[in-house]
Amino acid sequence: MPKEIQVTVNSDGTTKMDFSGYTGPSCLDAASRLRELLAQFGIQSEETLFTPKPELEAALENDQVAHHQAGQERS
Amino acid sequence: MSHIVEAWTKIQNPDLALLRQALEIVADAHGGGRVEAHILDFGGRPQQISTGLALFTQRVHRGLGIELTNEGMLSFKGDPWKVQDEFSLLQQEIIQTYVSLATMQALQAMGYTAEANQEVSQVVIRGVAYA
Repeated sequence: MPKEIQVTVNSDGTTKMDFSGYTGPSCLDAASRLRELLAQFGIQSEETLFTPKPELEAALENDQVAHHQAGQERS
Repeated sequence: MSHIVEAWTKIQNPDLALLRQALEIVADAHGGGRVEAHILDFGGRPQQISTGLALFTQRVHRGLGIELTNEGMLSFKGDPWKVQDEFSLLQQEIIQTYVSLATMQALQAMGYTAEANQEVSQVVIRGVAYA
């Protein structure tokens, strides 16, 4: 499945970025890279809404559980 | 695996070459559209624009200049008398086109194949990577 980023640029200057086809939380890295590159053109974005898709939500929850467990093992 | 982000954008210290490209695209979409380095005041006298970028159309015949504030923020200069709606619309189109062009270039720099489509008042850019 290809990785896809769909960016909708509205006439009022707002944008909507839809990331799909990524494995685990790698879509967050892609979003960060895209923000960095846009910043080189002077475009700064202020996030108004972040909606994880179910697969990312599950990956983030697993990650949090893993971090929590690692923390407990260390203490 | 995936997510959606909605955001406000602001432009500070824009790439002037890309901004010129955006102006040329907007100019081409309007009757009598052209890019100049000045605007005209109410008396028809040329007023230089610091970025050297101003857009003229048949309706906005005194021009819409692009200036940068001391902080590098994009600002617009011109006389909108009797053409307020067109003046505002051109500002929106310039910003939308600039953000769209920058997004296309950013996606290409990330190794994505990017294509843009104008859909009513939105520009939809789709970047795909198979690697």
